[in-house]
Amino acid sequence: MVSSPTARLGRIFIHLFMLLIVSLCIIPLMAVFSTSLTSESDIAQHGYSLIPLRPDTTGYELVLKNPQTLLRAYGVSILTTLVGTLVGIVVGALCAWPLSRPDYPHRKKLAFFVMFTMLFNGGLIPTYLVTANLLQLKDNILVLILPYLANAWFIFLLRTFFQTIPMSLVEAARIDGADEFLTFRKVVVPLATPALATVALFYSLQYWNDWYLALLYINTESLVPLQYLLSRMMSNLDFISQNVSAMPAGVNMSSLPRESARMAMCLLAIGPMLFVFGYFQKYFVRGITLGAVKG
Amino acid sequence: MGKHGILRLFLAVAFLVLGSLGLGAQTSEPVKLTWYIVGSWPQAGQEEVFAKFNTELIKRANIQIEIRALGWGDYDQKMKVLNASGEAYDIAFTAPWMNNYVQNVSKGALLPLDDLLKKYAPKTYASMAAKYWDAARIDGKIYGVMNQQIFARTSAMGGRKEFYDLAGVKLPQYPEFIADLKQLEPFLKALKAKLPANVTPLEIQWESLREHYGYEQLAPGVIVYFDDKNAKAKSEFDSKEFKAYYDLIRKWNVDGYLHGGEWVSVKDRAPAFKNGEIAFGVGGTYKPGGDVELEGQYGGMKAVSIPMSAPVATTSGIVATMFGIGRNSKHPVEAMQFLELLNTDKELYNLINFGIEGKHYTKVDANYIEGMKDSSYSPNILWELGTTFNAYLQKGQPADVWTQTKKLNESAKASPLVGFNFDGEPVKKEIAQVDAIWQQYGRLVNNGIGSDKEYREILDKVKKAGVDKIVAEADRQIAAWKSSKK
Repeated sequence: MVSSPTARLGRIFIHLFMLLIVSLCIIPLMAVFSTSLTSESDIAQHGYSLIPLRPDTTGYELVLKNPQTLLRAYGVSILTTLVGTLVGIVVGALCAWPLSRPDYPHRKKLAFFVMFTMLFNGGLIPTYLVTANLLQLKDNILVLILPYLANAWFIFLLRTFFQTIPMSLVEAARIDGADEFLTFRKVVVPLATPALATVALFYSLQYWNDWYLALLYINTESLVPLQYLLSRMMSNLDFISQNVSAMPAGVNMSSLPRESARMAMCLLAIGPMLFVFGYFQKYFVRGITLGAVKG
Repeated sequence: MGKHGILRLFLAVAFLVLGSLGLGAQTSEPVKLTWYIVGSWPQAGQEEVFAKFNTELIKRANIQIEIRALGWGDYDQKMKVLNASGEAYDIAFTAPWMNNYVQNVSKGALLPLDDLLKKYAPKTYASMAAKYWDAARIDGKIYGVMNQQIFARTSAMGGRKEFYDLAGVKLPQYPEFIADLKQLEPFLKALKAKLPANVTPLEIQWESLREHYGYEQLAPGVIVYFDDKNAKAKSEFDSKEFKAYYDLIRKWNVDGYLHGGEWVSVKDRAPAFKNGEIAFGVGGTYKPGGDVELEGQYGGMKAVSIPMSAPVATTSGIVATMFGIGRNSKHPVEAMQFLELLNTDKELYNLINFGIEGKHYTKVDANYIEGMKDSSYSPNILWELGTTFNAYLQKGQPADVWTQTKKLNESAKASPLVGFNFDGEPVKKEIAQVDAIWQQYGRLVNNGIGSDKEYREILDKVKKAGVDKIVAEADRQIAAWKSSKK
């Protein structure tokens, strides 16, 4: 392939630009990884570095010393992510499909209803009152799953994709004797796999990264998800180091986990998501090319 | 089933019969309370300790308590939601610095306790002087029960004893104190000369020197001097004390007594104290037996603690740790009875604070205990869960530490504003801004690397952020408080 000097220059520029973006993504991760493998005194003396000077595993030893808590938190996170994603994608798709059908008479009203929740919500206190008092969901694993099941944004994303499926396919299925459910299952879902996979990834990220629901509604240690465990660790240390002059005498900081332990915890928390992301990626690529070929 | 089994069976049947006859008062269902506390939670062994605590409690008062122990970073946020939603909890930790007491009272989240206290917690009520209860009063009513501890505040510095001995320069000991920071210079000079090159002599914080400079902070950037009988609010940074501190710390940095620029970005200095990379730190408050508590911070080495001011009693020191009873509590009487138990029953207090004997600590003799290494239960918050005067002594603490502490409390000079609680809500925005400015410049100042330019910047920015508005609001509230007292 022969290319003109300007094109080559352009390509070099694009490559440099991409390298920059990639390094922006990778460097923080590397810093976290390296810090998790650095001893406290090295951090104090030399600061943070991208490559651990003298690899040291005390951070991990500290975090893994009491593995029950961590394993239980993993269990809670995995359970909520799996169940939440599966049920969420069903709820989302079942809501988005009728919304995308031009022959559904109430679709405008329903779309407005869904859209309305994107613009306005009840606010923290009323939400809390409904969830905790009316539905009595405190300290219940369901409280980590239910609130995120119907996500207006994901529903619209799916609806937009469903709208690209030709109605003639649906009609053809009906002529062949398929009812609505069969059409949905055998025609729509296979065609929409890339979109469903994308939204599933969003769902799983949302569930995996959530700690706020746990902060509000969970008091039982056995129901604490991983991210809340992590955020609690971080916020404890931040709070004490900032407010030490306001606190009563005798607050002891020495019992709190240190930098390397926190970073180790961080890596353990994001680890599974890295793999999940890699798995979903092939759908992303396919989703894009599918659209491109068909025009 | 042995002898005991049969006995137990017999008792159970007896209770059943008595209960059905309406005679067995003991078989009535225990009253269930919820109790919100803050600390380095969760502790690995907490379930076990809380369960034992409950067994003991049911025996004593037929009260069952659900302990909701939250971490430092979560408590405040969670309590805000609970209070706003009117959740029916019974007891919660409240203080000026955490789950804000004044705001809780002004929003009506807490019950007034005057009558309950006198009726159901007479011993606790009698154990503290009226002037201390006055500190907790808002519009004449008490809304929180203080956990007795060291009420007086005394600026202090601490460090390893070996370094102190190495320097060979005597510093004042309690009741004497370092009245002027310049008094430290010969000591620092000797330290610098004799310490290994990789050890920094001092770590200092403006925030920890309030009593030393003789003022009380009402809000970020706003202070009242202890010796000001009119109790007029002033700007914290536009003071001769701040200027003197700023210049002195710069000089100390040049002289090599501080870490300087190198360390400005390191937020967490605790490991450096532990490893002995910093010799002395200014912070905390002086208290009897305090050097023992410091040992943990210095990696288990013997430590010394040196007072840097006379003891002072301020509202924030007295009400620094309290328990309030929730407005929607269904059992306020039992909640108060529980607080009375927590403050009078040594066994209960020590159980919740130190855990179970033989598992989390060992007894050395009747009063002294020693914590287990890597114990699964050491919340370390003696000052929160009841009166510290009931605590077991820890190795190295003087036997009369609590008597000494009481004495120190009594000897403390009272600030003219004892009983005044500043409500920052009306000037929330300004307070947040001034606080942000200090967060930005504080480390620079405390490490002595700012120049005259930064000094002027701080003053300028604080002014622009509206410090005068906070001062005016403080003056208004102080005037209202004074007139309400007459």
